[in-house]
Amino acid sequence: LRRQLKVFSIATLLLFSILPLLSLPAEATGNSNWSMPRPTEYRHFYDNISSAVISSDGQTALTLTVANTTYIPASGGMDDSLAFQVNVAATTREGITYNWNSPPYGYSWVTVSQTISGFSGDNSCVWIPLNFTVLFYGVNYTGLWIYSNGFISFTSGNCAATSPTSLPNGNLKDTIVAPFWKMLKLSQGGSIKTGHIVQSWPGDNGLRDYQVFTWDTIPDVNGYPQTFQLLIQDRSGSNLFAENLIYFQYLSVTTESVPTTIGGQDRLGYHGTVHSLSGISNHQALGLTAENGAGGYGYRLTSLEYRITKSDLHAMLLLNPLYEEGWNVELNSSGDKHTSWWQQVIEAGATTLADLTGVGEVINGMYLLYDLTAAYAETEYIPASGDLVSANQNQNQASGYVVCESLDSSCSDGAMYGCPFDAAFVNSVYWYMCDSESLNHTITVTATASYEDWNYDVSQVSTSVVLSMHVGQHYLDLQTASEHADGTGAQNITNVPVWVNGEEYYSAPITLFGTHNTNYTVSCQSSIWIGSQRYVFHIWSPSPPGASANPQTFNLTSDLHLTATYYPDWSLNVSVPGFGNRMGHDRSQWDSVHRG
Amino acid sequence: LSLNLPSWEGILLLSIIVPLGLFTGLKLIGVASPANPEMIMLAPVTWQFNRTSAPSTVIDQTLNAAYAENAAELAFSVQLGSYREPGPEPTYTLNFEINFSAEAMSSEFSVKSVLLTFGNDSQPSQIWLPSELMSLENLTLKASADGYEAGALWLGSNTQDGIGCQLSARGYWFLETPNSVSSHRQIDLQTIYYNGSAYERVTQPFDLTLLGS
Repeated sequence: LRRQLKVFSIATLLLFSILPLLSLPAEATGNSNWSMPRPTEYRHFYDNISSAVISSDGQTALTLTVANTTYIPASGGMDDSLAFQVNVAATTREGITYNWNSPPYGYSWVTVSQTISGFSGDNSCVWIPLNFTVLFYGVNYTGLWIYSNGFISFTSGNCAATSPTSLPNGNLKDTIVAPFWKMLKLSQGGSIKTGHIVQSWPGDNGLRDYQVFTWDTIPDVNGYPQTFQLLIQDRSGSNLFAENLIYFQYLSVTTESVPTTIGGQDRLGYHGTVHSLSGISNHQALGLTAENGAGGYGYRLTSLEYRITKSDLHAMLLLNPLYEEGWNVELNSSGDKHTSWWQQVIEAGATTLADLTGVGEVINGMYLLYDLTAAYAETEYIPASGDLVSANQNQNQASGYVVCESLDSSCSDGAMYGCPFDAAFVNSVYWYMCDSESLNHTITVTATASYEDWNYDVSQVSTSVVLSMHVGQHYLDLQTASEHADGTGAQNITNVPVWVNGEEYYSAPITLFGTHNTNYTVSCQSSIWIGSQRYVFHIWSPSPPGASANPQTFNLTSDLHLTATYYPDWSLNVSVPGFGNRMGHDRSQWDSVHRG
Repeated sequence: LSLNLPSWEGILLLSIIVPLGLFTGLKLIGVASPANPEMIMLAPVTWQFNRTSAPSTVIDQTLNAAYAENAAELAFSVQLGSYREPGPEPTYTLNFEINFSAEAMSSEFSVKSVLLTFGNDSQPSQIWLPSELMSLENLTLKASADGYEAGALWLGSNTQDGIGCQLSARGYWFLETPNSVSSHRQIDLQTIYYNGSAYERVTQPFDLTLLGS
């Protein structure tokens, strides 16, 4: 019995140890840790340190990017610092899904009479402004492109690309709502009509407006006339901020083996659904409705926050209140414009996400956010109004917090569902290291997004990155020039002049070989050996910071700048003025070539 | 007519009453009060720097000024740190430190206020003076704010008569213009103090110009 109890206890212990891990969010992180030597001179790292995560309930994607890391040496009475931007962005579009159902009223054909003109024959489309807002996959639209081939798009009038495909299709990069996407011959007959009706159907809770689009007796490629219609419910009023109800109705269609798509997808072609063609018959109605968050109301962001924690008493964290910006967050009334900077920040976040691997869902979801934010920033910039709390040396946490609020005028009245589907918050931060450049320092940056469902039940998702700066290792910057890597085909290039701090100083401490085409593909290898180890270069430019593989292969499109890091306990003939004692190496040969 | 001259006791009494009365009267009409001190404007210290597109330029230059009288020695300084390219902020940035110190030479010396004022920049720019980077000695902080476009100030008053005081403020000047544009700000370091017989207001201007290149 004792043995059984022992086994049971161990099993129970193991189970409870594993359970928390199972309940963790689907972690999808990228370069979440960053550790660099502490420089002694100004250094713009151009690094983006990012982490991305999808909440365990699948509803929210969150990214945290620490961008534009810049080391500022002590000057003007200030300690040395690492300054950077913190970029927190989240979207609850991640969890929006559309499903098929039968409309509560059943089939009820609506006759409309206003013929839409402007089609230029087969495979054409026309822009139709709407007198209400349509919320589709978490984005508000005020009009649509209606296509002759049996579908609509809220985002693009790319009328040529009209062959039906399965959905979702990421190559389309378009919203699609397709009651009957089929190659139709509008030039051979029929018409496309629209009309606005007010009707009360079961489940409508009173009178509702519908915009109706009918493809009326348009022949397909086999000459069979096709008649079907699309109804979009105006959900203004009590149902504001919910995804609009979309209905398809089929009066007379043929389902022979001609490619046909019935379905819909979001703007990125990431989320979408199709209905089987065989499940369609005449005098049938079909509903395409969002199901998440109860009745299509979706989950909405309520706040974004970042916290920076440190454990040492020799550092300060100062959050700059002059440069905090945001999208779909509470804003200051000031009208200062820093549009280009804001766009850079957004692009930095998007680029970082693109560099991450294995986080496709997050990337797609966040790209939409960055796309929208950049578009907004082109026209208007208002600083965010976040609560910023800096940390002195004896405090271990700094934080920035901002309340989410939709910038869409239809949602900004503090109404029940005024919280947005996506939001971003950016702030610049100074991490002061208050010592005589003799200590290691580490901080953890944690981003948290809070979101709620229609019952105001709040959930959170978080992700973190860790930044470390350590002493005892220093930088050596070397430079060569692309004109020495000319020619086509594989070549061995040696004796490449090397410029150090702008001066030609030493010939060929590195070896270049293997170039071809106009953008030279170059492998670079250090020729410096320290004992049995080859000196390792980190590539900083022209490519983004890369791994320290040696040799390193990259595309050479401009002058090449290399940065090596080295340790003082290596027998390297390099030292830094002012750091000779610490380095303890011969300064005679390399005094002018290194940087701290 | 005989003139009754006052006795020596009377003269003694008058010698006390008259100066006291005069002092009280003058004080009532505002002479020799902190609200109406004697104004002393010191010659401005000017500094110019050519804006540069280099990633970072270490300046490490200190502008000094001083004023002395029997009761105290005052020192004013602005230290320019470095000028750097846009990075975490979308601006070229100059960091600086401003120092004020007063050394008491009299037990009656008392600093009533220290005032730091940033004049307008005709070009878009902002000043950030984090309170975490401020230090005070024998001064009590009366008011501060983190960020300013102009008119920034810190007010301090000393906590004890007869001893000196110090103020140090470190901050950033964010220039929201390209390097081709010139920016100018006047920083006024101002103090009102009592030297034992009168209130003085000493103002030391620093004219800082970042020349467009």
